[in-house]
Amino acid sequence: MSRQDGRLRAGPSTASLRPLGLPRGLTVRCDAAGQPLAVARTDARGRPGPELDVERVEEVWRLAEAWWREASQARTYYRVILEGGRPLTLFRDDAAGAWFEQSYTSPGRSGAAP
Amino acid sequence: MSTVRLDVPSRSVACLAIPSLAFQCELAGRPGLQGAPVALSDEARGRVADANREAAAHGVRAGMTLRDAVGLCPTLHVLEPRPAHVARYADALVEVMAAVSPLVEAAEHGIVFADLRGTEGLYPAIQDVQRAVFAGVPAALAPRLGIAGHRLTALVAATRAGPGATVHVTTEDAAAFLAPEPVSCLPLSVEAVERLRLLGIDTCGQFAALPRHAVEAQFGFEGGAAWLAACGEDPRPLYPRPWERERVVEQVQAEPPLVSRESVLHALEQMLGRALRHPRARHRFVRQVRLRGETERGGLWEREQVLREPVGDRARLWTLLRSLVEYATFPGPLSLVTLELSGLTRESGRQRSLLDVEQTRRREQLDEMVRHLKVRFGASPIARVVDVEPWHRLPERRYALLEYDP
Repeated sequence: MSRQDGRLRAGPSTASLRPLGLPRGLTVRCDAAGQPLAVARTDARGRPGPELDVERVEEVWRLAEAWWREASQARTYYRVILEGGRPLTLFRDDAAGAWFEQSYTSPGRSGAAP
Repeated sequence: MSTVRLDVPSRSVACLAIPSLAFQCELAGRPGLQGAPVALSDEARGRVADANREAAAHGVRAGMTLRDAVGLCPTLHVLEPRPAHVARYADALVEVMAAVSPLVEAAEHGIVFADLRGTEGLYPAIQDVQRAVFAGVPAALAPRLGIAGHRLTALVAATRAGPGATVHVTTEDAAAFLAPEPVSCLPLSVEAVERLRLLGIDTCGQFAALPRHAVEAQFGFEGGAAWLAACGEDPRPLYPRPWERERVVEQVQAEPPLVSRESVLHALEQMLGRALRHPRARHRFVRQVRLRGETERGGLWEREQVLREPVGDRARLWTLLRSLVEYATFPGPLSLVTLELSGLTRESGRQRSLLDVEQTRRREQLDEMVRHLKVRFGASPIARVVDVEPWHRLPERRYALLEYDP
């Protein structure tokens, strides 16, 4: 089990808290500046789906979490509009360079679980 | 080493002692500090809690501020205390003694008693006991073992023994052995010890030379017990820890550590369910609960509650545990939470509520259904969404599914 998923490790055969809203892997083509140009979602078996162009990037923000810990997290989030007008929130894990899809609301604003 | 058979009464109690356990634990993990001046700070990280001989040679003493200590000894290595680390070592020492005798009392951190009566067949000689005990304790902790017929004599013998050595005191020699010890080692209150000092009675030998009736006239029952102890016949029994089968222990390791009180409560709720489902606890009532939380940096939070009456009802136990956590001040985010239910009674009758019959019936139906699902599929597919850290910036840390665990 990875350090990032926030899961509790309990007794040998007992599952515990299962985090909701975990990021899902995504294949992303970027420009020279690292901005996403096209994305391809992966299916349940990990195979990439059709590539969709990014029409525009609406918002970019960065999160650095627990930077004082060994397992710190640094992410750059992008809220983009895909071809056809569909919005998508994705982020790049700045340490690993991998891309993920994850819906994002500001903490405390949503008021409900995803 | 020659094997000598010994009389049974003089080897009734064994005492394993590790002076300055917290300091020894820290030093044991850092062999590179051997020969260097080292001090252990207190939990507030403001004062010296303990110092080794090299630091003491520079004038570093327990109680002085760290600033003063570093001023006296610029090369001083200051170690931060890790109470959880020490507690783990202390538990390990209890287990070591439990391997020698089933009746073990953990008196305080670094001092463990074992009742050796009945173990003569397993350990015919004192050396056999010593070998069995020291085999489980790292030599770096400098363990000492005292063996005697009674509690106080065994304790003093252990503190007088050198590192890695055993002192055995026979019942006949006990009074003479204790005679030079200060009266403060006796089971007396601070006021009583102060009164004895004012009367010019400083040692156990002087105290034991007084007539027992005179001591009891002055200090009552406590004085009488202390007089017997000074004579090498300590009447205080050992208070062994509950047997393993009388306890249920559940643990949850959290990675990343639990920051919020809510997440600790969620973890605890699940642990309580698991503990009550344990075959040892099923249909039995609980007399005592113990909660322990440890931080990544070795901080420790611990609460123990003896219940006024045995409780077998999950809701009532949960109310109690909840109140313990709600008023707690944790030393930091918890990476390990332990719940221990002990003092389990025999099976007892349960009185049903007359008021919330419908709600109870539904709950029991649900519980029964989930139990069936778990038997059939190995896990319950029913879960509920709980807040973990709703304010967290990473979305996956805000909410979680908690398995419904009847």
